[in-house]
Amino acid sequence: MRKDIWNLSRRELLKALGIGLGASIADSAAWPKKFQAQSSKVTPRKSARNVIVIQNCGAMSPPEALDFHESKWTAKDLDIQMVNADFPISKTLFPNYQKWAPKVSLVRSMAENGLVHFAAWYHTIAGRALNAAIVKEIPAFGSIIAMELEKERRETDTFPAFLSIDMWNIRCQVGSGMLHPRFSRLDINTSNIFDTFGSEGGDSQAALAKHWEAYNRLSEVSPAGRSPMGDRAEEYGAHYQYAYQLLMDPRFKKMLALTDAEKKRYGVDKDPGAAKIGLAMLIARNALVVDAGARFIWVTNSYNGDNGSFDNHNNLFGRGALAPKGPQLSMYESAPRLDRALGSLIEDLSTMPGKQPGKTMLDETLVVMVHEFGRTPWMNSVEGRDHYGLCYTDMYIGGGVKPGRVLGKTDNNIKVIDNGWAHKEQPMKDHVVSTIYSALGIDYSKKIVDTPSGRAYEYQQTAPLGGPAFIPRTAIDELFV
Amino acid sequence: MVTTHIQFARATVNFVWQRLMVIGLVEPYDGFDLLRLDPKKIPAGWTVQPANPELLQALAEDFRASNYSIHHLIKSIMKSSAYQLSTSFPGQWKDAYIPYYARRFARVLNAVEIADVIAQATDTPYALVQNGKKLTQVKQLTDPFNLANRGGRGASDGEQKPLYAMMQAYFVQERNLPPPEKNVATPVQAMVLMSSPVVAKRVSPEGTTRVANLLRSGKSDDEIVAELFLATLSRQPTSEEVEVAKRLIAEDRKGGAESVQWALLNSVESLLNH
Repeated sequence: MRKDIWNLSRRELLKALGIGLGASIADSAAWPKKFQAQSSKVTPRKSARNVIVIQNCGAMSPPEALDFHESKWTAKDLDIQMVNADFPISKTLFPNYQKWAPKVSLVRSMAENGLVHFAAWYHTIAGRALNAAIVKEIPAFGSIIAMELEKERRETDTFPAFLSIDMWNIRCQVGSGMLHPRFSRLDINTSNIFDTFGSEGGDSQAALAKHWEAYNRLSEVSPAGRSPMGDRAEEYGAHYQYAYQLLMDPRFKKMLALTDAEKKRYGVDKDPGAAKIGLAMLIARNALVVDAGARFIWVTNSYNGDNGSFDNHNNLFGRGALAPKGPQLSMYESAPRLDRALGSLIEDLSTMPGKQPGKTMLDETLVVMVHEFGRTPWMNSVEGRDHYGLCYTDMYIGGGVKPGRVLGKTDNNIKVIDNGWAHKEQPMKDHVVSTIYSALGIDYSKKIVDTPSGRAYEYQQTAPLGGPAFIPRTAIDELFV
Repeated sequence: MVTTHIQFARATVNFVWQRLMVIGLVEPYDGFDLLRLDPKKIPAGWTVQPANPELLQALAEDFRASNYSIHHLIKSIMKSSAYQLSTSFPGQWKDAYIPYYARRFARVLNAVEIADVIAQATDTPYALVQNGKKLTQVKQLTDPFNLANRGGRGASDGEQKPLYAMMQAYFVQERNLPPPEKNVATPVQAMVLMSSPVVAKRVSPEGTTRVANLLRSGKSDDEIVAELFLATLSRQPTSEEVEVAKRLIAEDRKGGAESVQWALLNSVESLLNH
């Protein structure tokens, strides 16, 4: 019996048409709906209402930053201070460390198999290793979060749940894959958002309302609405309705309303990058403050594109004529740039009221700072550190995380001597994902069964990566207890 | 040479076919299964991969015979009756018709197309500069990514930032990366197109835009409406559309004409290649 195209399963549709077209014409009935919980042991923690992920592109060097080890290569002017017994930090590189470092917990035993930026970025954003065979159907894990949080959306919410800032400036883009486009991220570009939405050059709300009326009046009599393109037209119509609602929401403008004093406090004035980390963090903060539905915010610290400012293959401590050129910065510039913005963000979140009485915004917001991988324990011949997957450090703040925890221990050769958690395997990016899911109350043991490829999509990947061992299905619970 | 193998020609023509026809003869376009291409040599129980193996082979051989002329290939496809079909399908559409390309499959314009469509429809070209040379269309740039102006590589004019922001919403990216597969409309595209200064400036009733020139031309409202539709949607307006558009212009001559072109640029007909 013939099946009308609109009654095809999503898998059949995509098989017939290919992902691109199928994704654009499939109605909501065609999107994956079959979910399975795999384990009754998982009880999501639900300790955070929001999550901010800070993606430090280039991979900040652990031995100089979050896993300090003095060696013959260590610069003499780092002015090391002790945040706690396990956490030395350079005051030279992080002059505002007191604003954030005492509140953080670190995981120093992270491991990553992908040793090129793109593969590791993909792993970070998609929450699973790059697999070319199914790359088109894999969503960013932020889109999964947007889908899971949809049941909690209020009628007044106009912002997408998944907001990213400056992801445009890196080469790795992961969309909503097999999920409905409404779970896509909205990417804000700090280098031009004010040119597009915040300046007088664009359409003011009054002009937009006037154009919108004309748009609706003409749409009513357009033959496109009556032709077989009708379903496509409806999809577009829905996007336009949504976009209009967002643009007319005063909270959108409010999110972009930044004072010069704020910008200075976040270090925007000292940031020469195309993508300014201070602006990104201010917008992230404001997106939470205006409370318009954005709950998973991805801040890409990308500076001037390429591989990111922290990709210090040469002159890690270079100054003046020896300073790295192009999109890289020496640690003397990249670390204080991050420190100013991060310190101000944590300072603001910890003083702003949360939604629950007596809680601060930081209590309700998990801030996670992630990296592609680590950097070699040794310096290369041009005074830089290359890519290193055997261990690196990520950082967690707020959202139920107990401050002052340092999970994992490395020796002076930057070799992991203690994983720091209950598993024999080192934690990986997959556990960053499950930890975020858990904090938001999402069961990370779930999987989507009816994917276009037919291959089940696990919320937290457990398939072996470059070896025979399966990745343990677990969150990094030690951060919270 | 690997390029002399017929598979090189097959893969190339299939890629171009997919770009122009939305659905490749082999899907995904980069997922050829060489054992399933020839219907005469297909192993028992297997299915032939191309939607039309004879057409794929003929196109490949013609491509090779034309000395691998992309121009010739594009011309051949575009002159075919299949390419020239309408997205409107008379009668009831059946999914079984898909492999026969029985109607045109609409696709979302890509970033370069959308940028140049706006400039052309509004008769307000861009003022781009690349290596000291002035350019009026984004497609003339060596790489649209140059608009990002990173590393001092590229084009620049007063609009480069909002123009690039608009193009980013349509998945523009560096030329050395695989072509984006996106063929979906997103709310971000709508947001950007609705509020971009690139559009606002070009539908303005002041200056030298198409709207401004039309308002100054002394043409009748019917003529103005017809030209706006032709320039933006490449078709005449229906009588109902003429009535609505004329009413908008009658209510506010300048603002009405501006809103009409804004609405047409933001319409589904403008955003889709159909």
